[in-house]
Amino acid sequence: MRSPRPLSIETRIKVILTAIAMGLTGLTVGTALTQGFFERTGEARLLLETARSAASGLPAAQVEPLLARLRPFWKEAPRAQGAETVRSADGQEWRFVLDRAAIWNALVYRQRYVLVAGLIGLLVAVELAVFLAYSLTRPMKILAWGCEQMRSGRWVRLPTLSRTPYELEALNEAFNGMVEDLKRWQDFQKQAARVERLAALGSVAAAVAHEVKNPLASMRIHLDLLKNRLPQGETASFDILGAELDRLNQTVSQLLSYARPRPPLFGPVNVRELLAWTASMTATPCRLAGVSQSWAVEEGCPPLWGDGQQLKQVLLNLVLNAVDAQPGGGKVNLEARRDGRTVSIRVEDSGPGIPAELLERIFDPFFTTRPEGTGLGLSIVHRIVEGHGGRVNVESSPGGTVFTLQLPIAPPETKEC
Amino acid sequence: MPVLLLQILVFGAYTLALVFLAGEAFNWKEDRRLFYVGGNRLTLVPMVGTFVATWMSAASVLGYTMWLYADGYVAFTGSVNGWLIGLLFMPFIVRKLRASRALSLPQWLGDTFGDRRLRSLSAVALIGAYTFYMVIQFRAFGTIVATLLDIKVIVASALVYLFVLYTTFGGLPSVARSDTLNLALILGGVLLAAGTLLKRAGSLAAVHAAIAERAPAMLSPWSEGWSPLVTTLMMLSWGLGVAANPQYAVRLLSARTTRDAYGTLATSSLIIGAIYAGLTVLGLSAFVLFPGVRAASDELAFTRLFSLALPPLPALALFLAVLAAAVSTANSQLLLAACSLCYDLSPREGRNRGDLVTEDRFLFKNRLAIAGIATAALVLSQFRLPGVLLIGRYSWTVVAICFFLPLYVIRTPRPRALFVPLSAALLLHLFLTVFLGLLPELALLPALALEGLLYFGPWRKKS
Repeated sequence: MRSPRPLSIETRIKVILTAIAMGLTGLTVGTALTQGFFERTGEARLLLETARSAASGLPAAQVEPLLARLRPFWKEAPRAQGAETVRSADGQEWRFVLDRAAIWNALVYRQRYVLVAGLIGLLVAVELAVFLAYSLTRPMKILAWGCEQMRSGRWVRLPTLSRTPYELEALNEAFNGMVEDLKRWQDFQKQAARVERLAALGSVAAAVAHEVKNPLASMRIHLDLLKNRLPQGETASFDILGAELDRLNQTVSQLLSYARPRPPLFGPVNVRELLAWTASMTATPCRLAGVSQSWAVEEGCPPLWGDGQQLKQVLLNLVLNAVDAQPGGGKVNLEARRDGRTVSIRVEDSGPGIPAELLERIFDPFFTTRPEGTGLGLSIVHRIVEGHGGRVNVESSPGGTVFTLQLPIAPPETKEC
Repeated sequence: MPVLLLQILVFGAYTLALVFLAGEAFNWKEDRRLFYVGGNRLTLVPMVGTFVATWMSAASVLGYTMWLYADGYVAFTGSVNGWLIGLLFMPFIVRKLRASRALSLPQWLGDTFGDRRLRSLSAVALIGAYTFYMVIQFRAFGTIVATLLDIKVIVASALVYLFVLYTTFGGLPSVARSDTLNLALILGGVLLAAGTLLKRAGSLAAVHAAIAERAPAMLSPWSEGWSPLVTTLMMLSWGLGVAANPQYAVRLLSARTTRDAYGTLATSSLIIGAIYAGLTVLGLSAFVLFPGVRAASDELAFTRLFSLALPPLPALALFLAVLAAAVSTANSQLLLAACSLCYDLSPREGRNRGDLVTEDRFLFKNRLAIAGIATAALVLSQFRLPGVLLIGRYSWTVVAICFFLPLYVIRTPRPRALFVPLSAALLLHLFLTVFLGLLPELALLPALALEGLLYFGPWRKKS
């Protein structure tokens, strides 16, 4: 059997306010009616006493008009027990009883506006109760909705409600805080799962690469030997084969450096020198692609604490990616400045940007949108930066993409760059 | 116990019953579909309750009875007969309406003809018609209670205003629950009063015999003042107005199943028939027992007549039935007027629910509209306006012009083809009634003819 549904807040408040309204009306009207009744009864008795004493000195004929004045409160009851009697001087007797119904009717008529006002008050109280309950339950309703959304996997932030009591506002804020924390925890779990997945992938890739690298070297040597035996002008196919073998070798080397990176050799790295080296190394590809290049380092920027060679590889990968993203020309800007206890290096291009749905995946190994790409460049960037205890962020819009590296500064004894 | 105190206690008991039986005003999980059409989940009992209680307005209970008391069976031919003819039309629109899943009749009209202007025009017409019609309810009940308790009419009207507000705040679910209570009071009150009066008069045959002797013209279904043609036209106009009335159309939309909708029409017709039979007995018996009671208005005459003709308890039951009829019709009209104002006249409001906060704000706006429209009707009820049935006639006819043709006649709607015919018909109706002084029912027929002519006329471009 289903248990009965518990009473709602609205019903409870309605019951309370209705009881208060009824109690107050009952008390007010009851007091007024009771007081009125006693006053009227007292007046009636006084009237009777006056009539009785006057009648005792008058003949019956003159008493009749006098008795007519008693009529609103007294009614004649010749045979009633315990009736009040009035006697005329000549001995005629009249018997009267108090007409309580008439007195009540007159009183109720007099108090009718109070009674109707009580009824109106009751309705107003109920309608106020409804709105009071509404203002109390509204935040709870929204909270329940928020919980339901969370249960169905949708992250929601509860809106700030106007004119809400601060206790309920605190409940609202606590929910939003909980959602933020849960979201951060979920992001962390996602990140951990990604790292685990990449580690597994890396170890498989490293094993495969290691097995492929030696045969590739052997193939390259034998290809060169074969090529030397052929007459000049007939080696075109061997040149192509050699270039492809070199490309394969480069991919395998990248895979190995991603999967089994050598541990960074930490030391102070001059940021100005790092950016200048990157600019000089990428000057030719930039010129060929019609991309203008610029770089700047903030005055007083401290040196980085990291592996110079690995950081050069990071910047090289980012700038070359930026050049590839702008085949029709554009610009690349490198910028470094101190940001608290880190140095922030921005690599900014004016390319078409990365679609939002791809942004989450660009650091995954083998993920690329270019047919000739290996999909390892940005994975290596990510791995090296993480290996330095830094962070890499990317922001992209149709007007361009910005990669921001946050890398720790060198200990204080090192000189500024 | 003093009769006055008894009357106030009975009204108090009605208040408490309404407060605790009508349920909650603010439903925990509410959205616009639940608020306007009960989530399309109303079952047979609340459907019958709300259908019949909405049908029996103060105009029906009071206006029909007093017309019958004054003129005899012509009141039946000229009004009730027409209303019942309207009921016969309704089964034909059940499937059509329910297929649309609309939340209001203006929305159905706009969607069917692919014309936003139609929706706005009919919504404006409904707001006007229902605001004025609510005046009848407030005035009828206000006058009766003011006479009974010897208080100011505005104070008595404030009571019905608060009843109506309370029941409408909860939307259709709350209206349907309170209507079921109201129907029980209407049915009980009318039948108790009719039974009491018939007992005093002897029998229906005795009543007929007495009328045949004193005023035989009252037994004729045709008026001496109007030709049978005029009476028939009036009857037909009432029928068309009832058939196209959004109050009933919305209830047909609200039913849980199509079967429930048909069941509601069948069951309701029996209950409506019983109530009209009771009112007929009341009007005729009162004429035989207490002829010649006259007053400045129908409401006042009704109160005087039945205070005189009935003992205190049956009289109170009858007056309570008028209150229930006023509340049940007014809350339904108020809900539709608020729907027209907040939903049909707001272009951004879609039929689907928004997120919780948007929906909450939207429904709160509806509640403010309910309070605003009810207050306007309460204020208007204190002015001198035409009689009860005349306001009703204007309202019905405007509604009929807006919806009768699209609901019952047009089978294949042409996009954007109805706006001009409908506007022209409304203007013609206004001209004929206001400037030429024609009865609204009689002006309805040329207006409908013009609407049909302009829509179906051969010069209209076929789409």
